[in-house]
Amino acid sequence: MNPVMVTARYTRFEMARIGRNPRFLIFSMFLPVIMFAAFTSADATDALGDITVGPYIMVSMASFGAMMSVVSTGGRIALERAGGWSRQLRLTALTSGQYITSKIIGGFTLALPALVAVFVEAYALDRARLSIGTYLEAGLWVLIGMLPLAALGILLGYLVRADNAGQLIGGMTSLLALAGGVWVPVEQFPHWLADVVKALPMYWSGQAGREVIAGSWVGWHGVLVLAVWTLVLGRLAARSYARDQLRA
Amino acid sequence: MGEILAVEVVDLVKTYGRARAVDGLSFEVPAGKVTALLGPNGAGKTTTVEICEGFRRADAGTARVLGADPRDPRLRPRVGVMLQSGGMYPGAKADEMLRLVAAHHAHPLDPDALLARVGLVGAPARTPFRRLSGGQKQLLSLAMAVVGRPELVFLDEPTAGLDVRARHDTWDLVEQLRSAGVTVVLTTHAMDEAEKLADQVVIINRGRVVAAGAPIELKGGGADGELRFRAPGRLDLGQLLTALPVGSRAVERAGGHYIVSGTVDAAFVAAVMAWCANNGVPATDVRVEQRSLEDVFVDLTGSELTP
Repeated sequence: MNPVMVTARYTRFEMARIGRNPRFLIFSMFLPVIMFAAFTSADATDALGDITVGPYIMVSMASFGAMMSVVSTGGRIALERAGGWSRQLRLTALTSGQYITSKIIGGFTLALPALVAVFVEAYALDRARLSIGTYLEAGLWVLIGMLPLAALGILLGYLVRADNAGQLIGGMTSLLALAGGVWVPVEQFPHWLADVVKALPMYWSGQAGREVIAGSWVGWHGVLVLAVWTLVLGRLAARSYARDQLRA
Repeated sequence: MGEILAVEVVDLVKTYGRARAVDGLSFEVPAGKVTALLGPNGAGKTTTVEICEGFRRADAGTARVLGADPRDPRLRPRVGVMLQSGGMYPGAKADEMLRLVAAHHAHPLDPDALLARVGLVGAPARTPFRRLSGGQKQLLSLAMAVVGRPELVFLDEPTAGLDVRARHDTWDLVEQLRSAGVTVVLTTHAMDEAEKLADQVVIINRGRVVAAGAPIELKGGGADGELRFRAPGRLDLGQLLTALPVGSRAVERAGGHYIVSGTVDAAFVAAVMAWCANNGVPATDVRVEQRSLEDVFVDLTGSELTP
């Protein structure tokens, strides 16, 4: 059977289930929207790094919403494992690559509304007025920066159990947001901590978006960090999938 | 001999930590027949089936399924599996999941017709799996196992937790599979299920095969049986036995219950009743019972089959 068809079919199945539970989608849109409004109410036009506070926080919150969405895949995987669905899939011809691809597409589809919501809000509140092209390019880079986190979400699905997936994944996203300079700009971190943060993928997702707004690009250093994390976490995720099917 | 084997298991061993779940187990499943793996909970049935399904690796011994290694991905479209644990996504709907699985097969059964066949039509088909009743979940699992028209189907405890009606629906479906020439391997601890459905029963206890054969063979040719009746106590059973064929046995249980066992045919029953009449014994509750697989199991292992 055509592998693209198989992947598309499973992705559709995945989407139908995400669509049936809109609570998470609404939460992942509202949280960053509210935080953006709160964080930028006083000083949207002050300078922060190379750009002003408005666009800076906009990118941070967009990447926060997107990150919550792609990492949430882990919770759904934990549920699937608890129900034995992953064993059922093992009995079909679906390969680990096709399964993971569907999961990643599902996570990104869920991420898009959160990202767009914050961008639209920033424009509507007049706290970031950028060209359409800049919005698109910044959004695209934020999403590219999500790749390692999407892999992390899948990996988490195999590390946590369904009954505590919610708390663990929620805690993980908060930790990632903190460590990525999403809630507190990295510029305000002590030097040594900023260095640590810059070795982590979460920082580069936001940074990639901000560089676009500053009229530059993220640079090879950032791309390299993102690529290494994507490869390592992706590899671990694929291995967990294979091992889980064997033992489950 | 000369039969085509769908499954061949030789000296299988599987240990979890210190517990030896499967301990040198061997059996054969002839193609086109229904084979029941019968045994109490914890006997090693599920572990054995999971090795045959490719979910687990044996520590020693071999399992061949349709002539191939159980882990061979080419077996997937040829083998149907009903998972004991359900194998479902709690938030997905019955028809969604069945369609998805069907789509992975070249010539699947019509999912709608199959859902109707197992009674999942209308609202249940479009209800999230977690809201289905235990019986409906079980029947959906069964449907998922057969939707791809497999040559061989593994059913792990297919009727566990089902009500009488769903149980009979399941049995009908197994009969249909047999008629269609599909090989069925099912595990059960319900001896009536094994007796009713199986062409061949493999009795498993503590990870080993204790007996295998057609139910009628295991029960000693079907003639072996018991005649039970109630009568006032202290009958002269020695005298009764002189009226019966050699090899017959008679015991008195508490409360005036008598069990006369032997080759229970019409002449046997007539002889016992004649003896009662001649001796003025008012026998009541007269029943003839054949040896069940449960009796066979108790004889072989010294323990009860049902927990």
